[in-house]
Amino acid sequence: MFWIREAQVNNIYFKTTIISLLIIVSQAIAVDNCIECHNQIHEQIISDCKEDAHSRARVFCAGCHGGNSALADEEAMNPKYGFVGAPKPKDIPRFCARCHSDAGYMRNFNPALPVDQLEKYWTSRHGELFKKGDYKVAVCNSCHKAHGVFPSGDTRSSAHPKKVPSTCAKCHSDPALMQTYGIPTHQYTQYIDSSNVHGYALFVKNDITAPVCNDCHGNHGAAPPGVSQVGQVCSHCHMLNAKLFRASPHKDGFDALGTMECAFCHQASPDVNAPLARIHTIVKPMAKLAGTVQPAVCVQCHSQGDAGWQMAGKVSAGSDSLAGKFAAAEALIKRAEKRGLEVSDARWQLNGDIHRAMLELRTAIHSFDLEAWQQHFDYADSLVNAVNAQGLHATQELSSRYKYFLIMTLIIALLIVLLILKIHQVENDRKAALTNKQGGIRR
Amino acid sequence: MPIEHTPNYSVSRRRFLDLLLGGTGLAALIGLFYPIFRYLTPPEQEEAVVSSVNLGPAKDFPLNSGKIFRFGNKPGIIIRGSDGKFRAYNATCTHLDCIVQYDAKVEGVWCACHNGRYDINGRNISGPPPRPLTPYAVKIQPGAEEILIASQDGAQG
Amino acid sequence: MNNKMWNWFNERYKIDSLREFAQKKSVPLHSATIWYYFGGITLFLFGVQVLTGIFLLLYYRPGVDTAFESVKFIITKVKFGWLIRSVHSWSANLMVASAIIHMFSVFFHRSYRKPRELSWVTGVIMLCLLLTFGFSGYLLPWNELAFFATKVGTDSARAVPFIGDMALRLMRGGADVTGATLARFFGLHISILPIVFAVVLGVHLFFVQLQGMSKPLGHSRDDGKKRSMPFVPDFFLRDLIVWMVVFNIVLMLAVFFPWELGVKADPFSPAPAGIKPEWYFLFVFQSLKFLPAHIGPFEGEMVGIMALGLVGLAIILLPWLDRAASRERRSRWLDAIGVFVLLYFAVFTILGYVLD
Repeated sequence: MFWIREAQVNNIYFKTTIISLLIIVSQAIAVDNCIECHNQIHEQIISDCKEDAHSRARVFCAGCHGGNSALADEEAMNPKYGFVGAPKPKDIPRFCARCHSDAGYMRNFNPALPVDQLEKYWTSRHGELFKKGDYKVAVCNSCHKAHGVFPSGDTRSSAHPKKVPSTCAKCHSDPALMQTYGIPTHQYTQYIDSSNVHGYALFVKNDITAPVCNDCHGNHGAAPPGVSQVGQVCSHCHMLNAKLFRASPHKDGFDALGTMECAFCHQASPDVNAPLARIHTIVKPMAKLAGTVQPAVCVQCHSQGDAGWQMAGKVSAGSDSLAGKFAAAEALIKRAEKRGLEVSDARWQLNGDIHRAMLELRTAIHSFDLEAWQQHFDYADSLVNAVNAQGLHATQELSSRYKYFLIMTLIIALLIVLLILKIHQVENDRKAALTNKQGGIRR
Repeated sequence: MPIEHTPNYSVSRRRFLDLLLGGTGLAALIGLFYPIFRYLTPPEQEEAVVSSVNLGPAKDFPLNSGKIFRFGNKPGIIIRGSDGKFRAYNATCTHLDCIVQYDAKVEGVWCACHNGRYDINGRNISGPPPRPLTPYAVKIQPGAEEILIASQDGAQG
Repeated sequence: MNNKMWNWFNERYKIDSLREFAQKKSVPLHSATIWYYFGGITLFLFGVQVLTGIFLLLYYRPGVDTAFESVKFIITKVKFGWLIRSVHSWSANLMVASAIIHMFSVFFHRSYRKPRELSWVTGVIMLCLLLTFGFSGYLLPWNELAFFATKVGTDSARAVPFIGDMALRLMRGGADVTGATLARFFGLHISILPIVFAVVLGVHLFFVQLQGMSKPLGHSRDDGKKRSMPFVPDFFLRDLIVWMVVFNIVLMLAVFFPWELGVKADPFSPAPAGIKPEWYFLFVFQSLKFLPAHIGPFEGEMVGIMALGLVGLAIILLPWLDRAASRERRSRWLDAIGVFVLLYFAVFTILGYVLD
């Protein structure tokens, strides 16, 4: 045939092409042999694996289960070919680690992939119990599934941020299972509560950087954070607040009380008698959190007269007055904008500097140092006052409009009166002229 | 018959009325043309759309520093890297709209609200920010060596 | 000096005859004389529109990126820009209102009857031009409300049989309301419409001067006892007074109720709730809403638009349809139709505001 003759001319290329084709075909055939027989009984598993991370790395059935996939009969599953079948839970961690803890081997696929998962696992609560022979605890596939394993950034993965809460909840919301360990089961319901800022950010605002279970508890090394570690955990994102808190007198006090730093005040309805009751619902911080009346959290420990009580009172009164002033100034500016008055500087201040100053003021509370807070307060207050002044100035501009209208109205009114007089005069003149004519008197 | 209808308006009264009418008419015209004249006078800001802003001489910006500036109604940040190059971005963090700042220690942009970080090219590298910062074009006026900021698409902010 | 100048002009342009004409011109006096003012009011407001329109042009910039910004610039940064813009918007609305009142008064007095048929026709044409003025001017600030109202408004053109789709594309300058539509509407609003309007207005005024003002039915026969008032200066001075009052009202509206700019149009955002056209289109909008989706074999909206077209045609042909009026007789059923149309307009406009 013509094309073969043509190819023979480029003999070397022809050979290489044929060889690489054979390799591809043989690999394809190798997969086919497992699937060939199992496609009926393991249809779901086969379709799950189709595009998962292992398939993409060309690790097919035999890659984990062993055996010789080149053979097309029962012989393929002879243990002499390394066939292991489905590994038992007690074997899983080490089973996966054969590859995943082998840095040299993993480098073939993704050199940036960590290989310390097993090591971390042994440090986790799960791993500790596992070592003691409790095989009911979570192992690799409890979270990652056995078939259909995807990188955690893939939405199909059970370890994707949006799936993590429900993945953990499979066991941790099961009262029968958790009873044996004496662990409460309300974490998931608390987390998905719409008043939980992080859950809200994750599920409603689709912010997959919002912290889920493993961001605070760790993933392969999952364990409850120690009471004094909570601040550290929160500080990954809320670093300024955490920094101030840890330098404040509250740090030691909280540790002594066994309340969980940030989480104690910021949980829904904090109660010093049950400091951990709702720590998985972290609510949006609001001004009334600091103060001397419920629901302010300060009253949980401070009583009338002590320094904390006094500061709480000042902070609460200050925030209230500032919020009121801010609302008033904003209303002024809004009204001015609606009327088309020039207040873009004020608007810039409201959205920029003041927004930032109020944020900093909120952060400054965490120092629990009245003087430091007062400084921030005075700054924010002066900014709001300046905007208010601009709003008032705009209102004056408005009154100058009214003045213009008033003057014009007066002139027009006067003009109208004069025109009426003029009409009278014209008509009278004409009437007089007519009478004179009729009277035959010539002028 | 005696004349019943002598003109009610004597000549002087008539002239007075005409004069008053003319005067008031003139006042009305002035009242009308005053705003028109003010309207025609070019306003301080001569054009409607802010598509560029002048930040002053380049030598005022030290190496490895950043500064927040106002661009229309939005905050901008101008950074002079340790390489001497200028870069400018919309300073609104792409996470929750806080205003970012320059962190000279790591030579990058940092948002204090949730510890989000961007590199000096505005790319989000860690923390919650989902997107890079929106870049502005920086031009250095030849001769005067003044910094001009313009948005990439020519529109405001 | 004055006399010299007068003579100089008079020698060349015969302005004496003009003066004579003006002095001879008179306004009939009767119980309905007051309605004569509305033509003058409309004319005055047109003058205000031309003047403020020209001023707005100095700063306005058509274009998706600049239209809204430049109007905002006018009302915030330009001194008295808020006044010019608000006066333009308010005066436009009052002008439509006074034109409609003028037309109804002409209708109920049958002033369109022989020999003033063409005055009526030019008047109806001007009303159509006015509505187009309003419709095109509404979009120019490129704010959300105007954007979606224009979208809905132009969309109803689709219902016109055969040429609907083409008319829609022609109006919008494409398949959708975009910057191309804005450019079209701008050209229409500041160039084409003013020229056409000025020409038709000239013809309309020329007819009125030529034929004098119409008298109510029955008045034209008894010429013996006719009462009238000289146009200059008596009626003209009264006109001036009315104009002053109207101008003051416009100023008041502009100062105390400045026309809002709203938010900039975002073509990709969903239409906000409560999108309504300008009040003078509201009755059409509301009627189309009430129509069922299908009437017989036709689409409801199509039937509505066609009916509207027929009504428009009947209005233009009214002087020839109304045979009674040309014989100086008042047709009762035409009065009934007029009252019905007025009530329909009022009720559906109110419904348009009340219902959502």
